[in-house]
Amino acid sequence: CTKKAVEVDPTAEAAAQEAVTETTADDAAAADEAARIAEEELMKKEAAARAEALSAFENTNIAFNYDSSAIQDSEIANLEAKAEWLKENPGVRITIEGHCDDRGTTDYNLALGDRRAARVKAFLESLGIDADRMVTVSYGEERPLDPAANEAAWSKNRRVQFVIR
Amino acid sequence: EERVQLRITNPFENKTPVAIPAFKVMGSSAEEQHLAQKAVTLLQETLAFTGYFRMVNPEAFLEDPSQTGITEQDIHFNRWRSSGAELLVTGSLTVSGQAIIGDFYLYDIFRQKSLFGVRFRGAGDPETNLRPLILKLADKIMVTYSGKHGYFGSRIAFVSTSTTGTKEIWASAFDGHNPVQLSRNNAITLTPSWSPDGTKITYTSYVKKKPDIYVQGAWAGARRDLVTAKGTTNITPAWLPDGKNMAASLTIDGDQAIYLLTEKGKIRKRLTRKWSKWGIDLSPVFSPSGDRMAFVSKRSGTPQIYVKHLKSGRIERLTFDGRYNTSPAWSPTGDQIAYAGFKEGNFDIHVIDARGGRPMQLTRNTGDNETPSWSPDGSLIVFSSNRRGSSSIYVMNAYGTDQRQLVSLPGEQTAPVWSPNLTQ
Repeated sequence: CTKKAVEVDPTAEAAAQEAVTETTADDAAAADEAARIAEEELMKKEAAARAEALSAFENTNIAFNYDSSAIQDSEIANLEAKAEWLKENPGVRITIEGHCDDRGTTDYNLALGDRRAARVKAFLESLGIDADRMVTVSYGEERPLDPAANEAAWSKNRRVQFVIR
Repeated sequence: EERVQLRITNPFENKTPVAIPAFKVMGSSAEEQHLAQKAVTLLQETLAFTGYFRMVNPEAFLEDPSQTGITEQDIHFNRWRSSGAELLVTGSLTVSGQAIIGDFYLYDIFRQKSLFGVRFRGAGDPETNLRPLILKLADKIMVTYSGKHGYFGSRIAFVSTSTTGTKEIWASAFDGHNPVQLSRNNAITLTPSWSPDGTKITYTSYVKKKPDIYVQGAWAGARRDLVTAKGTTNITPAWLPDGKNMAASLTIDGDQAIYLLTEKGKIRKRLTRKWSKWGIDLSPVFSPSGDRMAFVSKRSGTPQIYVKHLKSGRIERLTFDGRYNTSPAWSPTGDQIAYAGFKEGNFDIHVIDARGGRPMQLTRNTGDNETPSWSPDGSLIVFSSNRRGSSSIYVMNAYGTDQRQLVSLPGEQTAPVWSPNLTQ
């Protein structure tokens, strides 16, 4: 190949030099420090954001109607947020827990809890989450969030809960 | 077509009055006196437990056979008739070292004659032998009175909460005597069911952090064997009357469906078809002859009880009252099914003819009454009730009268299931 001197456009050279500002050694150190702090601030903020997203993922449950395993329209946004988080964290594997309120009977609620967890898993699969990342388990009425016997407690207990494995 | 009407008259309403005066004691030791009193009390409680008998008040007795003699020529039948008795039991107890001997007579007051005279001997420690001896006597009285053996060798298994928040399987004698913990799973354990020969129990347990099915010998600390953990939810196991195969509700094909399988977990076949990807069929129980299976299904939108004719495959819906009917239990006489139905804010025990018809409600206004199970002769039903706050085990006769608590233990007791009658 022919050797050719790389010609530098004189005006670009001048412009580049123009940009170089002259600073004293102290100023340089201060600037580095500020950059480092800003960097740290950013990382902290990102970590906080990630932690918040994680806790949001683990602590927002999917609610169900009495004796039903159907996904309610009001819960779809929740499920989409779950799918989003799972996509952002591909390495994570989860357990989907199905729960019921205790007004039904023990045996039937074991089955109902399973149906709730299974339907949530199927919904997340439809949003593109790989089935192998998700395991379902039913606790029926054995693990109430609120043991009280009133509608507020029952509706809280009729839920699907997410746990990172 | 004309629905079969349940028998309305309740045979447990007019009970046969029985007089059981103090037993004669051969020696005069305090121990013998104590044993004689315990024997009379246990016999009174056992006969009353059946629901067929009521005890004549001892204050009405006009004669004391322990003083005047226990054999036929000593008995003044007119005195016992005026005390209101129709049956009279007299007895004497002899305790000699390591044996207890009981001589007992049963008299028919109206016909003024003895129905039997019998001697029972119990070798070994008298204290522990008294109960089996008296239960043998009670059984002989039942056979003489009704022509059928009693169920005094049967047991009742149930679920009891532990202080650590888990649930284990316990079992007591038929009358709630001597409840002992059978399973040591240290996990939530539910839905117990007996093998037809009464030697094993099957149940659902979270030993492996999910609901799987196990089998265990029916004694404290027996070894636990896995039946199946194939599905995400493996629940409500029950043996078929042949004692070989079992049925259980598994999620091995997408929906929650009932399968025939062996005790080792080998799936034989599906017993309920897939009517929806999200279908629920569970709680299989079999008629005594094994020709039909009752189960719970949500195929009509709410949990209801259905009966499948196993040979033809035909399925009929059994319950139409209310939106939640579960926990079917087939009576040993084959003609009725008991279940828990939710109406007006509570669960109550109902019985319905196994061929369909109008259900009869047995419990009412006493909190939630659930998971019924029949005694071996079909005369009594054991069930759980939270009428006193926390749930515990109750028993009543098959017509809903004589309801009373069977076992009192700390925590909550649920899901009682009556074993077959075992020889004592």
